[in-house]
Amino acid sequence: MKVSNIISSLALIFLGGFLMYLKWMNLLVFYIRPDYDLFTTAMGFVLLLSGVWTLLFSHDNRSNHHANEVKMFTTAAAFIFVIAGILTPRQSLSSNTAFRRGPNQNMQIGALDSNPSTLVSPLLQKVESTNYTIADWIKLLQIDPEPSNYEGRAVTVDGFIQPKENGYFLVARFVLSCCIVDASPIGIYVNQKLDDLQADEWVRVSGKFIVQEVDGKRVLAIDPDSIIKIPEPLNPYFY
Amino acid sequence: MLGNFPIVDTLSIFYAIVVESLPFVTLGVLISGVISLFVSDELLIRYIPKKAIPGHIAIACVGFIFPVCECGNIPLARRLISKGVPLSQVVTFLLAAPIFNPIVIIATLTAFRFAPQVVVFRVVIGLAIAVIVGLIISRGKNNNRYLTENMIMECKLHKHSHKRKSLRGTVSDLMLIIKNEVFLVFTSLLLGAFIASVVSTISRDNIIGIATSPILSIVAMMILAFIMTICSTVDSFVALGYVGIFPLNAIVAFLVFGPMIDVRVLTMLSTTFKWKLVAFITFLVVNLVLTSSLMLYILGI
Repeated sequence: MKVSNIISSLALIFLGGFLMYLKWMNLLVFYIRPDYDLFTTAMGFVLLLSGVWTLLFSHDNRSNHHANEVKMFTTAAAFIFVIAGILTPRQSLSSNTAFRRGPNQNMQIGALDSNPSTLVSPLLQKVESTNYTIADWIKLLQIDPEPSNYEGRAVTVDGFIQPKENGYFLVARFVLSCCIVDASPIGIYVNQKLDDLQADEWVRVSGKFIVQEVDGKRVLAIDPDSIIKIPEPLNPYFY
Repeated sequence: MLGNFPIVDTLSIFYAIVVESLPFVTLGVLISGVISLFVSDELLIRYIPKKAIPGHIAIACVGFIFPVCECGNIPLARRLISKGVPLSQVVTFLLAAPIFNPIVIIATLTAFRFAPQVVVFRVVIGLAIAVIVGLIISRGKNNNRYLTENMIMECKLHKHSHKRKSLRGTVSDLMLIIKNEVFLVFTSLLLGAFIASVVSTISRDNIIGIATSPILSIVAMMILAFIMTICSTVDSFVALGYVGIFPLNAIVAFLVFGPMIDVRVLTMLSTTFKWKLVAFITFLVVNLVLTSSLMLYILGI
């Protein structure tokens, strides 16, 4: 068996093993939504099996044939991809990307130019909402976008710090549809200066909702009673 | 802080695209490998109608039975030519198969679960363009003069082997197909993932000028698809990086044009067809994708 065939089989074992390693170490959450974990692991196993089989049993002597040409360049790329993937520190998307993806992607979704409406959702007034996440509040705001309808409600949410140019910040999270490629930032304005807080630090913000004017728009904001630093959750994304 | 380029995020997005895409490549290669080992081409050719329009429509749907992406369909296309299938129908097959096949449809639906209409536009426009290009080419006389010398030789020498293999031999063939096909796609997947991860992290303000122009946005996405040369099984995940930056009609142009014409497809086509025909196919596809995407824009999509 040619050395190039042995190396390319090993590279395939590395690729399949890498997908299974990500699942084994619970690292797939940093890339894709959990629905695809099983599929990813299964296909990782197919790659691993193919690598092992071609290493042990297949004698590919048709290396002159175009379709069977396995270029050393690709094999090297596969090795580098896997090794770099294992060595690279895993972290969730940062506030920098949230900023770059822009305020138009749901950020400050409660921002409205309109006058306060008199509509107050009866359902909203009754539901116990202290356990609501940022995503839950954003969903509610999509149904009833009038910020004043939430004034005085108690709120406790976890997220990372997304600084604003005016020295204040949003408590933010990313929402994934498929994988982090399509991650959209969502966040709620916090009525407090950054002070000793740093961008990307994970915090639990507790307080009450108020309506605030930010950049000429009325937005829903949290008037905080406490801001506690917390570790990044095992799964930092919403789906 | 805000002015710094987020390198770690870009790297994470790069890995996300590859980790999301690689299983779909593997599934596609696995299924097409199993089919190529167990289903004969003769069976397929027997059921293709002889009349021009039904024949082209039928062969455009063959990808649904032989789910191969643009990298895997050239060997099958060469087998079809050597068995006497008209060149124009083979061109239709080559253009349609990477779009109208179950793996690609599932992958596109997975990526665009929030906009399933993208899947419909991709399939309908892709099939229509493949059939139209094939029908235009079928109007020409003695199309076989556009085959390369190498391909003409292969047609003359073609002999089909019916040698039976043991189970172990068949599994070995399948495992070799998986290995070779995955590596055939892998480098272009890395390149596509790299470009998409950088573009998806660039501040949206920087490219908003191109993205808001109806024609420029389509042309930009077609050029990106051409350069990236990414497999149709996974291009929908790459396209996700452009959602929110480019309009949906430009995204559809990316998803239709890429599988039909890109750097690798042109290279592969040139192994079978002379450059004159390859250039003519490219010309037709560019115009038809541009027109159909502009129509989507006019219709407000």
